[in-house]
Amino acid sequence: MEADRLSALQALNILDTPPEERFDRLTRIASAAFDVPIALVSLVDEERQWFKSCIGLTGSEDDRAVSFCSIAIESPQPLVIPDTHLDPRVAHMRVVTGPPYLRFYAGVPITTATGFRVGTVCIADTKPRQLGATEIALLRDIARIAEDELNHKDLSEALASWRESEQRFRAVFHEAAIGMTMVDESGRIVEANRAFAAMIEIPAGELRGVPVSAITHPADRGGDNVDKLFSGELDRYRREKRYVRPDGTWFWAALTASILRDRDGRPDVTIGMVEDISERKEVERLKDELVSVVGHELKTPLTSIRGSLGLLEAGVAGELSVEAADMVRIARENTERLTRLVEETLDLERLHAGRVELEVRSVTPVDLLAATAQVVQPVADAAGVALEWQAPGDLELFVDPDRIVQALVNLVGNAIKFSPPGASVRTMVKAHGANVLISVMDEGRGIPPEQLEAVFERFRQVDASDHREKGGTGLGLPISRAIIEQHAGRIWAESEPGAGATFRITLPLPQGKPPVAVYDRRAPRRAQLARAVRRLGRRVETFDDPEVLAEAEGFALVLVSGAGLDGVELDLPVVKVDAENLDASVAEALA
Amino acid sequence: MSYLLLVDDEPDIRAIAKMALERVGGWDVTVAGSAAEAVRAASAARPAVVLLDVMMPDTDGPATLEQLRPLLGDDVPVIFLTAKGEDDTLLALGAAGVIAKPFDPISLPREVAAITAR
Repeated sequence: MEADRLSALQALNILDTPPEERFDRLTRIASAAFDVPIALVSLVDEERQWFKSCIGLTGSEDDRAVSFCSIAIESPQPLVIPDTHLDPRVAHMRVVTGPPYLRFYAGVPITTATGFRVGTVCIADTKPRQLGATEIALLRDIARIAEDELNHKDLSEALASWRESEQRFRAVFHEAAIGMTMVDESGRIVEANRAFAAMIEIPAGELRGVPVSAITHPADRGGDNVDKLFSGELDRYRREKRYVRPDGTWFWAALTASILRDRDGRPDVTIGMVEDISERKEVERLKDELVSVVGHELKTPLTSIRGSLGLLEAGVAGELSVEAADMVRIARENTERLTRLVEETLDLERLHAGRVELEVRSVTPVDLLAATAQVVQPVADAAGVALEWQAPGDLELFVDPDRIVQALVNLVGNAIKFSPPGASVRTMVKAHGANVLISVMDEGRGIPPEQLEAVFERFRQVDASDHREKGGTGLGLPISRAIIEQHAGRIWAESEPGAGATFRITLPLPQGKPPVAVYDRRAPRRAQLARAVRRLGRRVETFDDPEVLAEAEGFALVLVSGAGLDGVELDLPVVKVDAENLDASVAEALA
Repeated sequence: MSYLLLVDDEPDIRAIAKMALERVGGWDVTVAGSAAEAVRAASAARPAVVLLDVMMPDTDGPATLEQLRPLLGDDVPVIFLTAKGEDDTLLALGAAGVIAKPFDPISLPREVAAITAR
């Protein structure tokens, strides 16, 4: 309680401040009104009493132990001591027995807005005297004024420090080396700093009022979540997007946006930090291109090496000695590993570049598990690991079965690799809200918590020696993640070290609504359109042949982004989407 | 021994396929590295089977087939070698079958035999 009182006193920020007229005025009035030589505005600190205003005493503080005020603040009532010599609580005090020889004291506590008695307004004299009720009331009134002044100071200082911090914020905002924007609820720029103005090549002053969408690349317009920040659904988000300059050129940027609230906690503006990442993107593009070119160039010679070694090993080119055959086997096995690495690298690169078109159709989880089992069962048999499968028969998924099986083979194959002989690997499928949840559980050594995310990065394995021992390429999990994410699903790992690992996949279950047909002759555009539909949780099937489309049944509508359906008789409604504003226009078409 | 014409622009692939088809499959293999060489070889002696790579510079597999067909007549099976899939399109050109590249040399003769036996 005393600690709370002291922190309330501290929070006033008044201790050891210079004298102020607004308090001195009060002590002058008190001294004159009561005709006493001593009048104080006194605050009781931990070990002292300190005088904010003081008439008739030298010094600005005194020991708390010898202070009348520390007695006065014990009660909300005024403390009146007509004759100090007759009051045992104070008769022995140094200020009574020595200078200034106090005989009379009257003090009224002053209270903070939060209810703590932090000090007094008091009067004192060197001769005894009585105080009538009206006089006590007057002293009380003076104390109330002191109280108001004290609490008012509290407020005005908060205001000042708020102004100061706002100024500091403005300085940081405008001078920051990183681009910064403030955006209002309607998605318009309220303020942008110099760095951002330089990036976008529009003067900061002219950016005010400009909708963010107007300076965003059409393909990236769907991803800004200003509304979710205002609604409180999101605290912050980070994304990579392209901003378009007035001359039509664009740059890649990493945007981190969060909400700035006003003093009452209401959402005010979003504040965005914009970092130009064009260079990184260009390096990434070059790297992907290099990987792709080198990968394709490696495939041809690897095929020849693999073929030649296969013939040699089979004795086709003449019988080999046992030692020679052994060496050729080693060469052949390593060539196969290298080939796998090249193929998986190219696969991952294509997935990341969005150049893999999913061939989505209706399958049951049972089908998926059966196809997976066919691939991994021989591996499990060789490792002495039992495989268990469990899936309900009544679920329907709309996925690319080959790709999902590829991901499952990776997961189950990994689980087998890290299982001791005699252990089992269980794969379970069940409905989980709007998703289907697939879990692959092993009884291996588990994954340390800090590695649970890292295993999905390229060439990352829990133990560096795994690469050699387990014969993996280090790309299986990154590829699996890319496949699942392209299906608008999620994949992650859970583990308690020593108690095995569980890999989980969620894939969206088809909603009750009928699927959407997508038509475009151009494969990339078709894939792009299909992705936009899938992001909205709708099933989609793609068509590149108008005649096949004309035969299709059971679709809600056909989305087209280009020409080519003119003159084709369709029973389905055809909606043309705006390729410049794909996500928004697909959402509108499906609403 | 039956006479097989193998057309592929890559010398290494030709050498590997030739050895596998001869030693494992027991074929008598003649190789050609281009459409012109294939036409020359087919004119000199009519093969029993043709293995034809799809991706070749200048004249690709389908175009080479057009040139070969008059020399071969309709009953000589032509098998395409391709890394790209597209089986249906290739079969529509009158091929007897399609073998995916990269092929396993040891099982190549078996695949050829399976297609020609149809």
